[in-house]
Amino acid sequence: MQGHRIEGADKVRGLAKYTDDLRFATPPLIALTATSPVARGRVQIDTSAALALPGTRCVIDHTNAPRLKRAILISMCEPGTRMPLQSDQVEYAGQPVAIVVADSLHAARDALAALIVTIENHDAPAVVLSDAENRLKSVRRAGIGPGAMKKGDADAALADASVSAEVNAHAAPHHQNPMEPGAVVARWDPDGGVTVHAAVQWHHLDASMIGQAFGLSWADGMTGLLGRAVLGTSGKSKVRLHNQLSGGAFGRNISYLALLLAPIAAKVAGGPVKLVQSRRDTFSLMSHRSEVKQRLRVGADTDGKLKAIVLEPDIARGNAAFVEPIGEMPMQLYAHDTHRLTTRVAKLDLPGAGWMRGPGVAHAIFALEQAMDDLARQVGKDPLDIRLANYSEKNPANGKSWEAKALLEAYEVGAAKFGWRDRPKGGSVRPDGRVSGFGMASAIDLGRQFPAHATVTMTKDGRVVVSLAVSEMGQGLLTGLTGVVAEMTGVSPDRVEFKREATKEGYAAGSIGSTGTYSNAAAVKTAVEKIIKKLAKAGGLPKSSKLQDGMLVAPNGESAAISDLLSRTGDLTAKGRAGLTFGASKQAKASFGAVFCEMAVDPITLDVEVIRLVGAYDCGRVLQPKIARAQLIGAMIMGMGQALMEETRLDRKRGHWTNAEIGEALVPTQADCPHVEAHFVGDTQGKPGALDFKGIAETAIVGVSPAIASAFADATGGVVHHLPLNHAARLAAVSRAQFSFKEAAE
Amino acid sequence: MTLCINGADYPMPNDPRTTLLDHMREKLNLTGTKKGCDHGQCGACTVLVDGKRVLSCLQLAQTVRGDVTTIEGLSKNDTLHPMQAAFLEHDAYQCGFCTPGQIMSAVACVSEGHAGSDAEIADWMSGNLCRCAAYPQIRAAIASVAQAEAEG
Repeated sequence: MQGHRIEGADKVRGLAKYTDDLRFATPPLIALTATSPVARGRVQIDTSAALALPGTRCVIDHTNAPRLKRAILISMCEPGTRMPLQSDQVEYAGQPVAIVVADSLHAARDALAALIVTIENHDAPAVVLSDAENRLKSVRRAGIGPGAMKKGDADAALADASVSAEVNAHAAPHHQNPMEPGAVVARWDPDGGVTVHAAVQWHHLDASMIGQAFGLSWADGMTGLLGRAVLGTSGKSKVRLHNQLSGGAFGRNISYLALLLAPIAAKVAGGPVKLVQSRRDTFSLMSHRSEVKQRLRVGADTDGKLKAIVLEPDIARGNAAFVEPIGEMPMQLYAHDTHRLTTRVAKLDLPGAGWMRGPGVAHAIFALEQAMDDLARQVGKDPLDIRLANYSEKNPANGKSWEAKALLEAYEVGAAKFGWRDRPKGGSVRPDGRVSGFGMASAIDLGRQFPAHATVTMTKDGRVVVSLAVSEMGQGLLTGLTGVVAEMTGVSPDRVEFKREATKEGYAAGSIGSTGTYSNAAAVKTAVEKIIKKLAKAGGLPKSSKLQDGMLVAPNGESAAISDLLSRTGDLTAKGRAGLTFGASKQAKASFGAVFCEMAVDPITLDVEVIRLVGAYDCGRVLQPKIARAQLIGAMIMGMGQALMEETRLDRKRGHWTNAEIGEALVPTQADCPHVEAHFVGDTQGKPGALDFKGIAETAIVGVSPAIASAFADATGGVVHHLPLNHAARLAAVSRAQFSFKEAAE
Repeated sequence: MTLCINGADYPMPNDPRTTLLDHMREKLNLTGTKKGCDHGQCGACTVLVDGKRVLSCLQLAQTVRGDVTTIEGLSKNDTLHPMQAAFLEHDAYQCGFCTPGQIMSAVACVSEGHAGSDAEIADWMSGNLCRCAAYPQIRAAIASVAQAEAEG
């Protein structure tokens, strides 16, 4: 059926296979992970009772696990810092301390229950920033973003500013929590290589991680990975990673521990093993978005035009090099004269933090937009007008012009669709007795490009086969890329095939940072252009000819049937690569948006309901509007979750997550879901022959949390600088504002 | 005693602790029903027993009395059930992991008569989490099926 996702029919019939659904000729043994109940100490495990059970095959802990080598991991995730099961040292609660391997899921559960895990000498952990003042260190880099920046004398400009605002924002940690808990199947092969089935976001990166850990072959090491990224050669990889459909990911399925735990288990058990993660396991065996505090001060003139931005984030990190890149984006949104960024990072006794949709930017823009609202109140401007007053034609951080920027159109379309200019006064009483509030915010996310190498084959029987190890996590990449290939080759989408599962397929850019479609499409385009040249040569047509509707068509209208040309040349294959300079350009590239929120607040209970979210986004060219809009809407609703409910709490004494279940670490439900509208603005058609894609989902989570906080402040006068805006934070803010609903009603 | 699933008879598990979900997934090769939390919190494992919604992760297999319908039993041969077709048409899924549970729940939501309005659908579908948040499209898919049935 036209216009549906390629894997859609399988998904609605329950036939789509996720890793735990796979069945094998030799059924794998089942492995479960035992984790530490406390954060620090030395672990001792009594395995005798577990081993005495009839279904138990083996128990693996630091005493008998294979020794793993260090891995250099550009994802900065936990295995780059510490490999699992290598010592008796416990460094966080939820750390894997043993694996039980058994004949069945039931037997594995019994074995897990029979393990006696003792942690000795455990001392008090620090798992929240307020307990770790002494661990804060200034950094020059914060993950992929800068830790320190300076433009002019921001402190002097701040002191001289006519108007200033200070925001002390605090964001609690939270988890990505995609619906699939996940499993990894591993089997060691007779040649010493390993076959792994799992869902990953960046195939070759994680294949390399496994290869490095087990010291398999230079081709699987960092040298091999770089070789693949730069040259596109596959080398003789001994890691056969088969990438499966992912039941959501949102940044979580990158370099996670189970990718190593399953091969460890298979090695000791001497046969294929499936390691199954429970929901609770995913809270510590996989990453989370860490706790962040931001002190942000801005100075402006009496018109509200920014003179100085001084941002001082304190960022928690766990047992991974990854640091939430808070400093990357705030200086790139609004025109300003001076800025200073000074970042401090504290290593806490927690699992490795990692990637989550809108890394850094989702939190950073929350603080910046709160400051903009404060300035607007002080200078007596509408929130939209103060943003218009600070609009920047160029990237204010580096002076580069933007490749495309339809932010003004986003403000205009979003405001018009929402009815912003005609909105009732904040604090006005609704027919149901609740109080109305309205807020808005800007959205931005940088456009990036990563290396990719595609091999494209056009066959005599009219198919196009693309070898490219891309990931499908629900974002619609397969459908999107198939559309791109169909358009470039003039072949119907059902004749396009992707070979994407195995490590031997082409090096694909990871599905990270909303860059997958663009980065990978660029490589496919290069390959298709080479095939066109070969076809043109065979048909005596100019190289500038194009493929459309089964024909190669020259600019002068002359044409030849592709099938005729291919019957002469045989199947044609070409390799294409792109992104080796990471999209370096004289121009800056970003997606932009504006989001508007209507909220109703119960004046007695302070219960809040988001009534409407209306967003307008410049995401460049829109290839599949239905899928792209779904991405925007889904990310906006996730942004509402970030704003109102998403928070994983910690026990400060033992250091463990206290609500590590999907029904307790709240995420938005159907009933929480407001009326959501997403509109596209900018050049949605793209320039002829150009890809012109920009990121979608990461941009749409940005701006939602400040728009919601802004609406709450508009309704009640209570300014909440805490994420999520939970009941306690709302109550405290309203108390601070000494707001009286009775007066507002009158 | 046997279990009737999608019109076929299957053996009951020997271990009384076995949930319907684990029995179907681990022993009967019916993997369409998904495990998202194993605690009755997410709705991914929703199946129908005599047309009523049941969380198969909370139901011990040996206690099942009645005919079980799973996502695999919804379509007849190659013809999609109207709810499956509506989910496809309205793009009411992204990653697809919660989708079998959403669809089973949606079928019951309509047959229970709880699909009268957008707000009613939202309330009666809130036991099925979707982290991709395809919620508006799910409501639209359900509303279209309810409307088609009403028009007969």
